[in-house]
Amino acid sequence: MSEHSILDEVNDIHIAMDLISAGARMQVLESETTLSRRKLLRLYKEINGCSPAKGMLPFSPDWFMSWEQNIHSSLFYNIYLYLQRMEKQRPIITLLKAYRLYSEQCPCEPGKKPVLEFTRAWTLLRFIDCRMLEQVACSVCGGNFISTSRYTNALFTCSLCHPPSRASKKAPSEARC
Amino acid sequence: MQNIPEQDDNVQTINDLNLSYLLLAQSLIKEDKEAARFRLGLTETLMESLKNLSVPQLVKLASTNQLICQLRINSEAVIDFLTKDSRIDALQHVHTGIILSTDLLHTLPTAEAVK
Repeated sequence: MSEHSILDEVNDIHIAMDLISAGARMQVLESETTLSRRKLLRLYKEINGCSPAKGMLPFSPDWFMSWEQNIHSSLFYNIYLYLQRMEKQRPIITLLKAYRLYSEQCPCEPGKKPVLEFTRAWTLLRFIDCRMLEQVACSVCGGNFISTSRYTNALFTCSLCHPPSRASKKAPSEARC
Repeated sequence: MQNIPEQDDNVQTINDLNLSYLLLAQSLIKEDKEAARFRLGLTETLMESLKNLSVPQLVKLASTNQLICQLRINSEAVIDFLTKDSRIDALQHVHTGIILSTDLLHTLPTAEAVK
Protein backbone atom coordinates (compact mmCIF):
# COMPACT_ATOMS: atom_id res chain seq x y z
CA MET A 1 0.00 0.00 0.00
CA SER A 2 1.97 2.94 -1.25
CA GLU A 3 -0.56 5.70 -0.95
CA HIS A 4 -3.64 5.87 1.22
CA SER A 5 -6.76 7.53 -0.01
CA ILE A 6 -8.17 10.39 2.01
CA LEU A 7 -11.33 8.39 2.61
CA ASP A 8 -9.31 5.54 4.09
CA GLU A 9 -7.57 7.99 6.34
CA VAL A 10 -10.83 9.58 7.48
CA ASN A 11 -12.15 6.10 8.15
CA ASP A 12 -9.08 5.27 10.21
CA ILE A 13 -9.39 8.51 12.14
CA HIS A 14 -12.93 7.54 13.08
CA ILE A 15 -11.78 4.10 14.18
CA ALA A 16 -8.92 5.65 16.16
CA MET A 17 -11.37 8.01 17.87
CA ASP A 18 -13.62 5.12 18.84
CA LEU A 19 -10.62 3.16 20.08
CA ILE A 20 -9.33 6.05 22.16
CA SER A 21 -12.77 6.61 23.68
CA ALA A 22 -13.00 2.92 24.49
CA GLY A 23 -9.71 3.21 26.39
CA ALA A 24 -7.25 1.71 23.90
CA ARG A 25 -3.51 2.15 24.48
CA MET A 26 -1.13 3.49 21.83
CA GLN A 27 0.06 0.03 20.82
CA VAL A 28 -3.49 -0.91 19.86
CA LEU A 29 -3.96 2.29 17.86
CA GLU A 30 -0.69 1.79 16.03
CA SER A 31 -1.36 -1.78 15.07
CA GLU A 32 -5.00 -1.32 14.08
CA THR A 33 -4.81 1.85 12.01
CA THR A 34 -2.48 3.14 9.31
CA LEU A 35 -2.23 6.59 10.88
CA SER A 36 1.18 7.92 11.84
CA ARG A 37 2.28 7.84 15.45
CA ARG A 38 2.40 11.63 15.47
CA LYS A 39 -1.24 11.89 14.36
CA LEU A 40 -2.35 9.26 16.83
CA LEU A 41 -0.61 11.05 19.69
CA ARG A 42 -2.29 14.33 18.78
CA LEU A 43 -5.67 12.65 18.48
CA TYR A 44 -5.16 10.95 21.83
CA LYS A 45 -4.30 14.22 23.54
CA GLU A 46 -7.22 16.05 21.96
CA ILE A 47 -9.69 13.41 23.10
CA ASN A 48 -8.34 12.56 26.54
CA GLY A 49 -6.62 15.82 27.39
CA CYS A 50 -3.46 13.98 28.41
CA SER A 51 -0.64 11.94 26.95
CA PRO A 52 -1.11 8.19 26.62
CA ALA A 53 0.41 5.86 29.19
CA LYS A 54 3.91 4.73 28.29
CA GLY A 55 5.36 1.31 28.73
CA MET A 56 4.65 -2.20 27.62
CA LEU A 57 1.22 -3.74 27.34
CA PRO A 58 0.28 -6.22 30.04
CA PHE A 59 1.40 -9.60 28.79
CA SER A 60 0.04 -12.47 30.80
CA PRO A 61 -2.39 -15.12 29.64
CA ASP A 62 -2.71 -16.15 33.30
CA TRP A 63 -4.50 -12.87 34.03
CA PHE A 64 -7.49 -14.24 32.13
CA MET A 65 -7.61 -17.30 34.36
CA SER A 66 -8.35 -15.66 37.71
CA TRP A 67 -11.97 -16.23 38.39
CA GLU A 68 -13.48 -12.78 37.98
CA GLN A 69 -11.40 -11.81 34.97
CA ASN A 70 -12.20 -15.19 33.44
CA ILE A 71 -15.94 -14.65 33.74
CA HIS A 72 -15.76 -11.21 32.16
CA SER A 73 -13.45 -12.22 29.34
CA SER A 74 -15.54 -15.31 28.59
CA LEU A 75 -18.64 -13.20 28.07
CA PHE A 76 -16.73 -10.72 25.96
CA TYR A 77 -15.22 -13.46 23.79
CA ASN A 78 -18.58 -15.15 23.21
CA ILE A 79 -19.98 -11.87 21.95
CA TYR A 80 -16.93 -11.24 19.79
CA LEU A 81 -17.03 -14.72 18.29
CA TYR A 82 -20.70 -14.37 17.51
CA LEU A 83 -20.28 -11.01 15.77
CA GLN A 84 -17.23 -12.23 13.92
CA ARG A 85 -19.22 -15.10 12.45
CA MET A 86 -22.18 -12.92 11.62
CA GLU A 87 -20.58 -10.00 9.88
CA LYS A 88 -17.46 -9.99 7.82
CA GLN A 89 -16.07 -6.74 9.11
CA ARG A 90 -12.56 -5.56 9.83
CA PRO A 91 -11.66 -7.36 13.06
CA ILE A 92 -11.16 -4.08 14.88
CA ILE A 93 -14.71 -2.95 14.06
CA THR A 94 -16.06 -6.24 15.38
CA LEU A 95 -13.93 -5.86 18.49
CA LEU A 96 -15.27 -2.36 19.14
CA LYS A 97 -18.85 -3.52 18.75
CA ALA A 98 -18.33 -6.60 20.89
CA TYR A 99 -16.73 -4.47 23.58
CA ARG A 100 -19.69 -2.10 23.49
CA LEU A 101 -22.17 -4.97 23.91
CA TYR A 102 -20.02 -6.42 26.68
CA SER A 103 -19.87 -3.08 28.53
CA GLU A 104 -23.64 -2.81 28.35
CA GLN A 105 -23.90 -6.07 30.27
CA CYS A 106 -21.02 -5.27 32.63
CA PRO A 107 -21.05 -1.52 33.20
CA CYS A 108 -18.13 -0.52 35.37
CA GLU A 109 -18.87 0.79 38.81
CA PRO A 110 -18.61 4.58 39.04
CA GLY A 111 -15.08 5.68 39.78
CA LYS A 112 -13.68 2.24 39.05
CA LYS A 113 -11.92 0.77 36.06
CA PRO A 114 -13.76 -1.92 34.12
CA VAL A 115 -12.67 -5.46 34.99
CA LEU A 116 -11.86 -6.16 31.37
CA GLU A 117 -10.36 -3.03 29.88
CA PHE A 118 -10.38 -2.52 26.15
CA THR A 119 -6.68 -3.16 25.69
CA ARG A 120 -7.02 -6.39 27.68
CA ALA A 121 -9.85 -7.47 25.42
CA TRP A 122 -7.57 -6.78 22.46
CA THR A 123 -4.71 -8.81 23.94
CA LEU A 124 -7.15 -11.64 24.70
CA LEU A 125 -7.83 -11.97 20.97
CA ARG A 126 -4.07 -12.06 20.28
CA PHE A 127 -3.62 -14.83 22.87
CA ILE A 128 -6.43 -16.83 21.31
CA ASP A 129 -4.99 -16.29 17.81
CA CYS A 130 -1.70 -17.80 18.87
CA ARG A 131 -3.45 -20.58 20.79
CA MET A 132 -2.17 -19.62 24.21
CA LEU A 133 -5.78 -19.43 25.31
CA GLU A 134 -8.83 -21.21 23.99
CA GLN A 135 -12.50 -21.71 24.61
CA VAL A 136 -13.87 -24.70 26.50
CA ALA A 137 -17.37 -25.67 27.54
CA CYS A 138 -18.15 -25.88 31.24
CA SER A 139 -19.09 -29.46 32.09
CA VAL A 140 -21.89 -28.29 34.38
CA CYS A 141 -23.65 -25.34 32.71
CA GLY A 142 -22.42 -25.85 29.15
CA GLY A 143 -21.38 -22.20 28.74
CA ASN A 144 -18.24 -21.35 26.77
CA PHE A 145 -15.34 -20.13 28.88
CA ILE A 146 -11.77 -19.01 28.26
CA SER A 147 -9.17 -21.50 29.38
CA THR A 148 -5.48 -22.14 28.90
CA SER A 149 -4.57 -25.15 26.86
CA ARG A 150 -2.90 -26.82 29.81
CA TYR A 151 -6.17 -27.14 31.69
CA THR A 152 -8.26 -28.44 28.87
CA ASN A 153 -7.48 -32.13 29.30
CA ALA A 154 -9.27 -32.26 32.61
CA LEU A 155 -13.04 -31.82 32.79
CA PHE A 156 -13.58 -28.07 33.02
CA THR A 157 -16.00 -26.48 35.47
CA CYS A 158 -16.45 -22.72 35.35
CA SER A 159 -15.99 -20.53 38.40
CA LEU A 160 -19.65 -19.50 38.28
CA CYS A 161 -20.79 -23.09 38.78
CA HIS A 162 -18.08 -23.68 41.38
CA PRO A 163 -16.74 -20.41 42.72
CA PRO A 164 -13.24 -20.83 44.13
CA SER A 165 -13.23 -20.77 47.94
CA ARG A 166 -11.71 -17.30 48.20
CA ALA A 167 -14.13 -15.77 45.69
CA SER A 168 -16.80 -13.44 46.94
CA LYS A 169 -18.69 -10.77 45.10
CA LYS A 170 -22.09 -9.75 46.35
CA ALA A 171 -24.34 -7.27 44.62
CA PRO A 172 -23.82 -3.75 46.02
CA SER A 173 -26.53 -2.75 48.47
CA GLU A 174 -27.69 0.24 46.43
CA ALA A 175 -28.91 -2.27 43.89
CA ARG A 176 -27.63 -1.54 40.42
CA CYS A 177 -26.95 -4.75 38.61
CA MET B 1 -60.13 -9.00 18.28
CA GLN B 2 -62.64 -6.67 19.85
CA ASN B 3 -65.96 -7.62 21.44
CA ILE B 4 -64.50 -10.47 23.38
CA PRO B 5 -66.79 -10.60 26.38
CA GLU B 6 -65.14 -10.19 29.76
CA GLN B 7 -61.70 -10.42 28.37
CA ASP B 8 -59.32 -11.57 31.00
CA ASP B 9 -56.75 -9.05 32.20
CA ASN B 10 -54.04 -11.55 31.54
CA VAL B 11 -55.07 -11.87 27.92
CA GLN B 12 -54.88 -8.10 27.54
CA THR B 13 -51.45 -8.16 29.17
CA ILE B 14 -50.31 -10.87 26.79
CA ASN B 15 -51.57 -8.90 23.78
CA ASP B 16 -49.72 -5.81 25.02
CA LEU B 17 -46.57 -7.73 25.71
CA ASN B 18 -46.69 -9.38 22.29
CA LEU B 19 -47.04 -6.06 20.57
CA SER B 20 -44.32 -4.43 22.68
CA TYR B 21 -42.04 -7.33 21.93
CA LEU B 22 -42.67 -7.13 18.19
CA LEU B 23 -42.22 -3.36 18.11
CA LEU B 24 -39.02 -3.58 20.12
CA ALA B 25 -37.72 -6.39 17.95
CA GLN B 26 -38.46 -4.39 14.83
CA SER B 27 -36.73 -1.26 16.04
CA LEU B 28 -33.69 -3.26 17.18
CA ILE B 29 -33.47 -4.96 13.79
CA LYS B 30 -33.73 -1.66 11.94
CA GLU B 31 -31.05 -0.11 14.12
CA ASP B 32 -28.40 -2.83 13.88
CA LYS B 33 -29.17 -6.29 12.57
CA GLU B 34 -26.24 -8.14 14.11
CA ALA B 35 -26.68 -6.59 17.54
CA ALA B 36 -30.41 -7.30 17.27
CA ARG B 37 -29.78 -10.95 16.57
CA PHE B 38 -27.52 -11.06 19.60
CA ARG B 39 -30.22 -9.54 21.76
CA LEU B 40 -33.22 -11.38 20.34
CA GLY B 41 -31.73 -14.74 19.43
CA LEU B 42 -33.80 -14.96 16.25
CA THR B 43 -32.69 -16.32 12.89
CA GLU B 44 -31.70 -13.98 10.12
CA THR B 45 -34.58 -14.92 7.82
CA LEU B 46 -37.09 -14.45 10.62
CA MET B 47 -35.66 -11.04 11.43
CA GLU B 48 -35.84 -10.05 7.79
CA SER B 49 -39.59 -10.78 7.63
CA LEU B 50 -40.29 -9.12 11.00
CA LYS B 51 -38.48 -6.02 9.82
CA ASN B 52 -40.83 -5.52 6.90
CA LEU B 53 -44.14 -5.87 8.73
CA SER B 54 -46.43 -2.87 9.03
CA VAL B 55 -47.89 -1.85 12.38
CA PRO B 56 -51.36 -3.28 11.53
CA GLN B 57 -49.64 -6.55 10.64
CA LEU B 58 -47.77 -6.53 13.95
CA VAL B 59 -51.04 -5.93 15.78
CA LYS B 60 -52.57 -8.84 13.92
CA LEU B 61 -49.68 -11.06 14.93
CA ALA B 62 -49.81 -9.90 18.54
CA SER B 63 -53.53 -10.49 19.03
CA THR B 64 -53.71 -13.91 20.55
CA ASN B 65 -54.12 -15.29 24.03
CA GLN B 66 -50.71 -16.95 23.83
CA LEU B 67 -47.30 -15.35 24.14
CA ILE B 68 -45.54 -14.95 20.84
CA CYS B 69 -42.00 -14.99 22.27
CA GLN B 70 -40.46 -17.87 24.13
CA LEU B 71 -38.10 -18.19 27.07
CA ARG B 72 -34.61 -18.66 25.69
CA ILE B 73 -33.51 -20.77 28.63
CA ASN B 74 -35.25 -24.08 28.29
CA SER B 75 -33.73 -26.16 31.04
CA GLU B 76 -34.78 -26.12 34.65
CA ALA B 77 -31.24 -26.95 35.73
CA VAL B 78 -29.93 -23.81 34.03
CA ILE B 79 -32.63 -21.62 35.58
CA ASP B 80 -31.76 -23.14 38.92
CA PHE B 81 -28.07 -22.34 38.85
CA LEU B 82 -28.59 -18.91 37.34
CA THR B 83 -30.82 -17.91 40.24
CA LYS B 84 -29.59 -19.81 43.29
CA ASP B 85 -27.65 -18.07 46.06
CA SER B 86 -24.01 -17.77 45.29
CA ARG B 87 -20.98 -16.20 46.90
CA ILE B 88 -20.55 -14.33 43.65
CA ASP B 89 -24.13 -13.14 43.20
CA ALA B 90 -22.97 -9.91 41.61
CA LEU B 91 -21.74 -11.86 38.59
CA GLN B 92 -24.74 -14.06 38.00
CA HIS B 93 -26.11 -11.80 35.28
CA VAL B 94 -22.82 -12.33 33.45
CA HIS B 95 -23.39 -16.07 33.75
CA THR B 96 -26.80 -15.64 32.14
CA GLY B 97 -25.12 -13.67 29.37
CA ILE B 98 -22.53 -16.41 28.85
CA ILE B 99 -25.17 -19.15 28.65
CA LEU B 100 -27.35 -17.20 26.22
CA SER B 101 -24.45 -16.21 23.99
CA THR B 102 -23.12 -19.77 24.02
CA ASP B 103 -26.54 -21.05 22.91
CA LEU B 104 -26.60 -18.41 20.22
CA LEU B 105 -23.19 -19.52 18.96
CA HIS B 106 -24.44 -23.09 18.76
CA THR B 107 -27.23 -21.99 16.44
CA LEU B 108 -24.83 -20.50 13.89
CA PRO B 109 -24.18 -22.81 10.94
CA THR B 110 -20.43 -22.18 10.94
CA ALA B 111 -20.05 -22.81 14.65
CA GLU B 112 -17.07 -25.01 15.27
CA ALA B 113 -17.49 -27.54 18.00
CA VAL B 114 -15.95 -26.33 21.24
CA LYS B 115 -13.98 -28.99 23.01
